[in-house]
Amino acid sequence: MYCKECKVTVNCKTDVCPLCHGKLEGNPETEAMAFPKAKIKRFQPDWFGKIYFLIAAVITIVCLAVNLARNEKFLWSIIVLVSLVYGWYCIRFTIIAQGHFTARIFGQTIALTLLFIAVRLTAGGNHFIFITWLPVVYFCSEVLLCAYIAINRRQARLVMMSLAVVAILGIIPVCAAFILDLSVKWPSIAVSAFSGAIFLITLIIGRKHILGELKRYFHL
Amino acid sequence: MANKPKAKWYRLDNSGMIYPMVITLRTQSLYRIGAELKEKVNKTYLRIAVNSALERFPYFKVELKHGLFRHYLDENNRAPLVEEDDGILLKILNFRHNRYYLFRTTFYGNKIFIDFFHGLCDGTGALEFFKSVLYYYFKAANNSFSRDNVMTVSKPILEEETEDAFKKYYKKIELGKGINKMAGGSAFRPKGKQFFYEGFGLIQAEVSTEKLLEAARRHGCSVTVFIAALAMFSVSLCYDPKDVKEDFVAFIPVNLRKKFPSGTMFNFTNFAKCPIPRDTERTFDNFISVMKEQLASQLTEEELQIKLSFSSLMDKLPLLRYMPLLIKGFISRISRELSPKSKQTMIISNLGEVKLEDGERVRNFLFNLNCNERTPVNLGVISYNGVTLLSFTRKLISTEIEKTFCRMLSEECGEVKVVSNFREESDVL
Repeated sequence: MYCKECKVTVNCKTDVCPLCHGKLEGNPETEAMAFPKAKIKRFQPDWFGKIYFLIAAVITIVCLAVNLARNEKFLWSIIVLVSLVYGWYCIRFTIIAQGHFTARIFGQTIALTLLFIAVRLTAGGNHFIFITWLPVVYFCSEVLLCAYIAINRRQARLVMMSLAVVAILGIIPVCAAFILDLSVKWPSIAVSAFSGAIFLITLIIGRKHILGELKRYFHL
Repeated sequence: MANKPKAKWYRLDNSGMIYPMVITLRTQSLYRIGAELKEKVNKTYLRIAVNSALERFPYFKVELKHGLFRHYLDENNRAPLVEEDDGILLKILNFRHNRYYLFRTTFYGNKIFIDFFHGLCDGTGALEFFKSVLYYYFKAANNSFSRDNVMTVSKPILEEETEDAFKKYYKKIELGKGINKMAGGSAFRPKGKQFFYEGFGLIQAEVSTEKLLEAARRHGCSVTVFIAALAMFSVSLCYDPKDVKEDFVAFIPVNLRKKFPSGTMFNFTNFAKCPIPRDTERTFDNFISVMKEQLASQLTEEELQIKLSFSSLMDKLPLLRYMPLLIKGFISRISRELSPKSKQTMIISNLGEVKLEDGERVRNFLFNLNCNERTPVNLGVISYNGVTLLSFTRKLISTEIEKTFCRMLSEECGEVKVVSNFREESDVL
């Protein structure tokens, strides 16, 4: 097909000129489109965030109203609010997100720590939550990271990143135990020791890979 | 049991290291090399072909990683992905989806496309890889295809294929001199409403190489000068002189291998910026003479040496070399954001003629450049089997520049065949 306006032959399946968009006469020589029609991805509104925010707002307001109406000293509604924020973080950045596993585990552990701090500050009382639950969470995270390191032992970059996270997570429980002067310190110390052991063993076993990776990282 | 070979990693060359630093959510430096076959593309054969070609090009079987001071290319053992093209031309390369490869292989009908991230290689390296993929594709399909002019596993991998040629030819230069040559003034930017979503519009004009050469000879210039002058002239005709406040600047990539012999498959290109003053009398012959003069003055060995050496400064100046990558990237992005004016009106890249001994199975080669808000229309040129393909990629909805260009091209060279991806139909706000 020929476009008199543009003085060109149109060589694809169409009834308009690609240049002037004027109507073409005759039948196309080819039956195929030259290129596929673009499947444009339009921006999707964040429905999950909006619905979650609405439900969370309703629950928080109801809890706060009940809490205040009953004239309670214990502001448990704040724990509900923090838990809802944690729930959003958990779904958005741990379950739905496709980020690195190590980063997700790190984020989840820190989020749970913050949740425990909020519970402790609101509820008061003894350090039960720091003595038992905090070490349990950190222990689980380190076991998961340990498994992740074992599976990806040939990928030195991932191993190094995970080791750094193991080291950071290992310091937190023991610091918490001494800063808060917990009555029972051994669970926290045990978790930190466990993390130290993972760190050292991985360093010894994977030293060749890690050294190679460090060389690349510093372009040596 | 045989020992596992040592994991390979490669330094990014001096030119390539800038591209990863300026990746944003909306822009990446990509270009596409493709071929139109005479038969329908088979996905399985294509997958086999890419895998086989990667054995010959192990330095393309890599992923991009951050180092402390610069990015580097690390061996990638994942299987490369081959998919059907979704029609979004040069869409952002999602490294994770693409199994961390720096090129994306797609196909549609009888066309094979490979989109390359510029940080990996320039057009020369990409074309060699593409030819190798074609060879292995036909081999997998049990079709004969000559291996002359194609890099296959039977040819040994030379050390110079991975050399940083910028480093090899570096000579000490005056910093000020280099900055002046590289920066240049601001340029006229084709104006108009742009596509909102990703992907570009594509207008591909097909013309006889012989007639194109004849036309260039008639005007006493090279094909590149002819096309660049015609493109700039078309831009000038599309805008009212009163609206043009800057010069028309053609940005022409230059393959340095021609002046500085190197077998590198990584980046080894520089550029010539050819400004045509906005008050130049608007006749095609005037544009040709200015373009010819400008290009000749910028293609001297001395000029290219200064630019080549300036491109190596990131590695030569201790301050830049030992500046952490995070800071370098931040400075690169900020400096781009702070200079909102265009530095060129259009990028015009001529990849030259593709030589294949056994070209019966391939109808055409394609070459598309990507563009951005500041340089919204670009032109890629490639010749094969007596046919030259001029591919305009654009972010502008309007096709006025292409229309003017093609009309004048048909007046100069006879029959011009045009195809389009009709991007404007999918994304007009």
